[in-house]
Amino acid sequence: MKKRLLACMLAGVMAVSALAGCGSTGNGGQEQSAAPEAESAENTEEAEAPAADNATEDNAEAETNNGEKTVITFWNGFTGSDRETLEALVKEYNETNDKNIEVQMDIMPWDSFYQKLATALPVGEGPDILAMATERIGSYADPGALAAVDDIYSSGIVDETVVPETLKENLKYDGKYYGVPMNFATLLLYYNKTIFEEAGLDPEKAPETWEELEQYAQQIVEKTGKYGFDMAVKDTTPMWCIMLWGNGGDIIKDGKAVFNSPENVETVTRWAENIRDKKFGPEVLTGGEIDKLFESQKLAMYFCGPWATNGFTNAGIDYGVAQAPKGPKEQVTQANAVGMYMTSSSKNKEAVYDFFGWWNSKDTQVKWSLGTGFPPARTDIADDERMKENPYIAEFAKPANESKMYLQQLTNFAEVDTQAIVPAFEKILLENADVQEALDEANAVIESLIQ
Amino acid sequence: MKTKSLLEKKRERTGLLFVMPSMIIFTVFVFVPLIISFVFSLLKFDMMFNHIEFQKLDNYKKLLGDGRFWNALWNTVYFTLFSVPLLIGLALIVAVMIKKKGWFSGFCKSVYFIPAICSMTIVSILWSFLVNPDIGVFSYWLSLLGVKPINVLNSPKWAMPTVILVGVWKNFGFNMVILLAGLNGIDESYYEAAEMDGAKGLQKFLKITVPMLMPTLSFTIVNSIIGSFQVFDQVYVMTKGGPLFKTQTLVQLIYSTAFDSFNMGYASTIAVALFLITFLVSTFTFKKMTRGEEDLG
Amino acid sequence: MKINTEYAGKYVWKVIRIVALGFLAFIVLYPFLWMLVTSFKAEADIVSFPPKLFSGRFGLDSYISIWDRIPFLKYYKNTIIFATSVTLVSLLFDTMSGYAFARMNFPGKNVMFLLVMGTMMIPFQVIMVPLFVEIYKFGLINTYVGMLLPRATNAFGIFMMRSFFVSLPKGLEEAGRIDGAGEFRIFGKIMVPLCKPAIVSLFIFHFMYQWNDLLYPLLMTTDERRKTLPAGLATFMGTHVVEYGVIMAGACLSLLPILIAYLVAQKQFVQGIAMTGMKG
Repeated sequence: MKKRLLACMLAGVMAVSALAGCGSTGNGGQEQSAAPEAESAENTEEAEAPAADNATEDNAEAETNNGEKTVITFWNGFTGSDRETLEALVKEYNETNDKNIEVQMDIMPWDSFYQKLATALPVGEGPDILAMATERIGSYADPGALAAVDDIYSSGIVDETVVPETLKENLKYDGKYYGVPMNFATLLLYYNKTIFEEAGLDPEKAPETWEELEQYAQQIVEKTGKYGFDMAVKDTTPMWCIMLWGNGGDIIKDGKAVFNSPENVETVTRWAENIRDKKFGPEVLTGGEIDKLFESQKLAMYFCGPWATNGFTNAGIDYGVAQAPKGPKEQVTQANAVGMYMTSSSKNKEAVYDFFGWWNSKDTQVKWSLGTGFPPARTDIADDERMKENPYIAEFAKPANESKMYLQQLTNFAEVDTQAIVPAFEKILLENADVQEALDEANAVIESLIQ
Repeated sequence: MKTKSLLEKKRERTGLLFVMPSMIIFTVFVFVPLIISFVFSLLKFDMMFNHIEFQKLDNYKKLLGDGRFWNALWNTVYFTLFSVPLLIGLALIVAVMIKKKGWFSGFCKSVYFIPAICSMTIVSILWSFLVNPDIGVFSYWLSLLGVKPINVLNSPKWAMPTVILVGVWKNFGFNMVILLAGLNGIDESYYEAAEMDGAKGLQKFLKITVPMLMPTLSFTIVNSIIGSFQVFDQVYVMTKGGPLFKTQTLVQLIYSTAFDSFNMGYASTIAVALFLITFLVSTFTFKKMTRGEEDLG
Repeated sequence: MKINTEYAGKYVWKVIRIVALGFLAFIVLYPFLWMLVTSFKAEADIVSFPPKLFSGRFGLDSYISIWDRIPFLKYYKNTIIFATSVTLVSLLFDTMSGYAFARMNFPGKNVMFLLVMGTMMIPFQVIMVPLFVEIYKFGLINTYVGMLLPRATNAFGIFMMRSFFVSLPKGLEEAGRIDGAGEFRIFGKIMVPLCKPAIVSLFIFHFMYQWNDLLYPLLMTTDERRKTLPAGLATFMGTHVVEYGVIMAGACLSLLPILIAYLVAQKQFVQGIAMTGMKG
């Protein structure tokens, strides 16, 4: 009986391997090669193209699909309103580049993106190009998932001199360049002009200092019953850091955790009181929630990036953007950027570099900027005539060189954020914890994490 | 040594053949990865699967002293303790109430099952919006009743109950359908006999319905326990384990350890622990319930 | 007098019953109503205060744009292929195994059944990474076969079919054997036809589970062209942007097939579960 059992199992295993064999050569192979022909018409980039374009694309592929065409894959998380502009630009590249390169994009929400990377990268099944926030470089460069790209700068394919200062350092890790700029954003103070009027404030005058900000928020709460000012705590582009920096504090400085510095204690106490006790706004919000709050016109002021302009304009909100109010020590805002990186498993370096260069060219950056409302990732085109089309661009571009970026150059920035910083704020705002204690606790965690 | 007839042997072989496809699939695609997971739990390696270090039992030692693990375990137990009785209780009461025929019962029966066929992700998104204190409809209605809207998903006190409720809302219909089937299988004559002895509603329920429903009930309960121990989707979408880790369940912790901290080895350790705990609890519960069944004969 | 109070009691109970069940039905249906209405609203009007269900501008914008913004049709097709193929294969294997565990004898039967039940206790997250690596080594990532194999059988299905077969009368096989039929014949010609309702129920369970699954298909495919609906819908959720109108439209469209399948097959579905008796 045992022998029979064994024989059956062996037969079974062989059957499965036979199927597997089918999968890799015949079946799967066929599926993969047949797919591009049949499905190129449905490819993401071409979703909005008229039928004629598809036909041309089809023919072009059929003719050159004999190995000369280089296909490079590009994964990113631009699912929001930037999507359309991104897809249009990639399509333009595919159609106009003379090196027969095609970029195939896979766009998915950032959550799914990081999940897939975790399984795909170790086995070399990742894409050629990745886009992600610069604070993540460390986590991926350190274990060797990314390829260093110093030579793209030294060879001039991407011009190092026009990269914003703040951004430049943070495209590096351990002294080497790993990323090229993809987009660059700063946070400004969005304010609702309608609510300002309602509260008796001048709708064209945004607060310029912390004192004014507090005054205005107070007035709004008292006169209109709406929320005056708030900052999101988790699942968001970081906002609290603007206040911390404004008072001369920081989170990590020169490799040491300084989250519990006296300046920070002062800052956090002040703003926690404002938000929690004076009811400027709900205590703990996610990025999505605070956006919706402003969109529903229940919140008068908050920090946000350029990505929100289209949505708010479409919602018919009468709003303005202003530079972040000046803190006691500095006027500073948060800058964040997404870079493009080449995976170490990529075999198409030349093609990738070509795309990187094209993306960072003046023309592309102008189009990208106009389409998304983001300031350009080049410092030399802010005065370009075409930019005047979108008035917000100039505003967002202004603080580029004086802004700071959050938690860069770490290999575990996500942990620092979710395990030390966010809980500290939650304790203070939700449970009225003593600020010094909470920050001390968080600081200890940060220290242990950045060892 | 009992010798088997040729015919018996032939039948046995056929029997094996029938289960072979499933057993092979399970072995290759479930048991082997599970064993690999066990192996992972003894190792430490980085995101690219390099720098593999053998940890012996250090990961497990770390686990025992890890506050985050115990917190997640407690949250998971809390979740299960409240979800399961609600899931089963609600399902049972509803099943009893709509046992009768009639268009209203039929309508309710169909309706209650609908949440079960939706994806939990969509359900979570729906509910996140509806309970939002500023723009959600449910909060608005509560405010009309004079209740001040609370941001439940960001409240350390109310986040977990909300998550539990969403899970119950989605899944009670599933249990209800199964229990209904069991209920319909109980012979009317039992009830008639009891009525003649003077038994009233509640007595009938406790002395006849529940005992006769035991097999179905025990399956539903164990199934719900296993499912609750593995809760992930709604927590991931609605709270991501917050606020202050008050809704972080074991699977959420495993997920976060593997994909946010890139510590696959330790994540596997937690996973093995979860598996063992689930196994123990389910077996214990099942034994307890089926023993009850045997007592009734 | 006595008759009246009894009557009144029954009447009150009836009213309570209807009110309670009705209220529950309302709680169950309202979110879906909201989902449906929102899918027809202009995005800007969805986020308004105070939130009113029927106010705002309506139109087909979300429905029209969803076909453009993501290759919805392709995802639909992928999901149908995935869910259907997995369900059909799983039905076959589950029924075979369920039958064998219920009515046949073979060495190791009890141990194997325990192992099968044990698989229900393993959360997917535990085996997901090793499984991915395995499928990768077989060269089956991004193939329909690769997505199908790990799901080709399922403990819940086996349990359900086994319960069903156990509840069938004892003498069926003997009758078949007397007529000279072999085991396979008995299975195919006698047993299977009898379990149509159970098969329909299992079909719906499996189909809806695969249809709604996000993590598994997402992980098993690195290629955009194999994406399924849940992954496609998730595209509209970002950290800072959740486009409710479009997601709801997508969700409604995704829900449609399973909803129809359920409503149409409801009778068989309920009957099938009833017939399994779910006896331990």
